Amino acid sequence: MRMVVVTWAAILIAVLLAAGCLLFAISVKG
Amino acid sequence: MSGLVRGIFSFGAYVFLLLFPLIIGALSRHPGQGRGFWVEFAVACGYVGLAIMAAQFALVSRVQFVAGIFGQDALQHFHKQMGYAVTVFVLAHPMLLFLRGLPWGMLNPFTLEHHWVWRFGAIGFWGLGLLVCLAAFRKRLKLSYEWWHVTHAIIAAVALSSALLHVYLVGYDSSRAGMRVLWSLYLLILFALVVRYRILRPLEMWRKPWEVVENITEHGNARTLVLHPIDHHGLRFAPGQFAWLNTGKTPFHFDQHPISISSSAESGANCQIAFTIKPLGDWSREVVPEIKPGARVWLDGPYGVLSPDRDQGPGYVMIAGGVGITPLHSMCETLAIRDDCRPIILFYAAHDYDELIFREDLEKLQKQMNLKLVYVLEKPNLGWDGEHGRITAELLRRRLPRHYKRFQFFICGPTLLMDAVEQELHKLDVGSEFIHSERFDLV
Repeated sequence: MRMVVVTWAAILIAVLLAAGCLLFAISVKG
Repeated sequence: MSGLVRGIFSFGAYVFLLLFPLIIGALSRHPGQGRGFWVEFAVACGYVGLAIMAAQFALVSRVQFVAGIFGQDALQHFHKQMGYAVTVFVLAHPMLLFLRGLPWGMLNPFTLEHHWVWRFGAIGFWGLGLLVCLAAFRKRLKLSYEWWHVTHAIIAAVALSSALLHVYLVGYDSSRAGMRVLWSLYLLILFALVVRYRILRPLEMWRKPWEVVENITEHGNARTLVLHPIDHHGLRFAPGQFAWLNTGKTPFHFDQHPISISSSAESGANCQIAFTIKPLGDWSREVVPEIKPGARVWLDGPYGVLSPDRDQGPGYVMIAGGVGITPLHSMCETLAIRDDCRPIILFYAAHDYDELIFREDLEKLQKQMNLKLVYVLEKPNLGWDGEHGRITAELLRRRLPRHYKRFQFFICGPTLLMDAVEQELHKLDVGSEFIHSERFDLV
């Protein structure tokens, strides 16, 4: 159970980070 | 601070630390300095990749504040998952730049015409690739855990240092004060964690040595090392927890293994502690049987969240496979000493009767406490009239009491057994919040 939660937490974080990259690129692209 | 608050705080802090370089990068830019969406997206992937790489060590450096909430095994699993995530970000970084016209030759660290900035980037890139491949395919490549552990640490240090140098030398964002301070701070935190993990923690262990009192041969070729503290008060732990056992010449030795404590947590005045080890790898096959009484060993612990002290219930169902009996033996012994009268049903799966470790102990405990013992043998001996085959939902239903759904379930054993038993328990409508297990077979 904990391992399933951990896997989903890692996926959620990866998605958040990808969204962060997207926002960064949009805000500074010039 | 409660566990939930600490968990949310740790999760939030982790995400924030990974995103912080992007925030600083965006804030320190002046208008009109952008290089287009795809180049900036590639740069962002590089920053995030580097931040994940830097944070990877924190997950496995056994920081009690975090390990006590999630469990060290969950952190190691998370470390592995984030290893795959970092690969995606680090792979995206050069690939997107190549699509924008950067030459593919940049990934060759041996090309003499390249400036060191690209060479460091390439070393970081290939280093990470090697790291992930060795971790993912260690067993298929037949690498010993000890060899893999040492090389994993060395390659990770080389890959991270190269990636950091790459960022410093690229200039642009990293030439700005904010970015330089940020990466220096991350490096400082990482350095502090390494110093704590590789120097301070072993020094603390050195001050608290343990002496091997007995090295007992158990059923199923297992060994029990009984340890006595030398000039200290021993280790306070909860039943079911584990510790890293270091049998090297000094606690600085890389050769350390997470082993469940098999003795009672209520050891009383003698402060002795026991670890039961099955010969499953090089260390347990070759080193453990040769450890003589009088030898000095070191412990780092306790760790682990598999414990009836943490998950209280009106009764317990314990399911063990093979040497997975060790933490459950510790739980039963502890509860017996505490005169705990709650019902315990222990299902113990083994290949045959001779493989049942602690069977005499368990049968004695059955008479002392409210313990029901169910052996499940894969290959039963002639004349065996107990359970045999696998632990199925049908077998569990036959042996469990009426109100089992409110009980806490602890499972320990080989990964395949734990996965199968969890599925069988779901068939019996046992809620996931009542099922507890610990997994270390991650690499």
